[in-house]
Amino acid sequence: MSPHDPHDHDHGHSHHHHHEHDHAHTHDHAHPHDHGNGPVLKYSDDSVHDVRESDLYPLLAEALRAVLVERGVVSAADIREHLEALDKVDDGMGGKIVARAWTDPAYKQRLLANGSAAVAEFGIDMGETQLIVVENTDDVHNLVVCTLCSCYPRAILGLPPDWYKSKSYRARAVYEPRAVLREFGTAVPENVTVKVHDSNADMRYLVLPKRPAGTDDWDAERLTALVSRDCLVGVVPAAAP
Amino acid sequence: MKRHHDLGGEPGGPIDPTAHPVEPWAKLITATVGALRSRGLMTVDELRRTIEDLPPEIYDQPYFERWAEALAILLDEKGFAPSADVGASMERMMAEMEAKP
Amino acid sequence: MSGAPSYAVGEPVRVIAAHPPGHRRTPFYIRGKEGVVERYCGAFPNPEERAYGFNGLPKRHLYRVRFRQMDVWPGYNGPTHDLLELEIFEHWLTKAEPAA
Repeated sequence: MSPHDPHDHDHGHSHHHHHEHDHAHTHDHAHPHDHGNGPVLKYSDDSVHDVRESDLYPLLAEALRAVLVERGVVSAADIREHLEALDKVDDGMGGKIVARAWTDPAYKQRLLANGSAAVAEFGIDMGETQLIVVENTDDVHNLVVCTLCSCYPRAILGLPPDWYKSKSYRARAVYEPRAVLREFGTAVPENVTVKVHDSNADMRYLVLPKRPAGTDDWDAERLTALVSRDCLVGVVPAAAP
Repeated sequence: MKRHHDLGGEPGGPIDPTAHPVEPWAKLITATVGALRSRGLMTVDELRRTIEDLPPEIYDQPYFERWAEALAILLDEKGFAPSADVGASMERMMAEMEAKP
Repeated sequence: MSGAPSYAVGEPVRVIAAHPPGHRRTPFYIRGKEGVVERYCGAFPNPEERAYGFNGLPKRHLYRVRFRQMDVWPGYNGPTHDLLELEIFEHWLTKAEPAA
């Protein structure tokens, strides 16, 4: 059974059934499949009342794949390849890049001068976008947001976390970055410039955090553990040793 | 006019920093977009445009729900996956699900 | 690509205060604001065209523009040296007078 087999979803979501009956498709009139020939209209029909709206998206995702493959637009292998690539994103990659920059001044220089070329040394392909690496210093704290959608350096960090995609973060990070940072437990002193990067077009951003004090004799491998995804977006500093 | 998706400067509540794992179907949508893009059949700009054109009540759903809705509209628009076929496919899968006790 | 970039690093620029319908990559909040070119990013296919299935050519010059937060948000609640940087396509920019 494939991981996306509909039976699997049925099973996996069964604990959701009967919770609440607020799935009456308030957006019925605008729904793309609201053409009277799909299962969506039937959702407001008692015969299928135990199928929650949350089950609709696994079905839709499956159906899109099935139709695209059936019509020869893309192959099942194409999609599988992309799925595998998603699962292969290395959680530790951002940490490796940062630790290398902390321990290898020449690399750090390359990273700040041309982020895309420097991460290519780690086998990362930024695709159509370009990477800009911004360095946190004693004078500047960088914070990355995308107010228009949720642009994110996926090639390095994988899919963005929920908070990065949330309306609150997208709305507020540009006009009250210090309040947002405080919510993540990060107090930036007044004398330090907070610099917000709205990732709104073809650049992607990675924050190079400050190397924590007391790690002078650490090697790159050990330093990697101090680098969380969140510090690469700028909401927190690198962990203390 | 400021559009619904253009959020910079809007009021907003506290940010929940909890991370949730990405659901398999959301990965499937992402991979489908990736496959279409790498074949040059769509651009991320087209998907963004379709997302931005979603009615606010659909846009306000979580990220991948938005993507799924918009992708369905875009692939219908481009003729790659007509919505009638997608609807029929969903119906078939639902029938299979219900047939299983 | 249509010609050489019009703006140099350090040059004061103003984001055009236009509100055309359709897919635009210039956030509403920055339209009409003044900043300084931080860097030239290169030329990229125009997303405003690509969004509708066109190829986005000729490519457009893209800049990163630096704004003072206090110039963007009238009630900005932080130090005057806080900054905001965005990517703005050349067709969204016009010359501005150097800040007094």
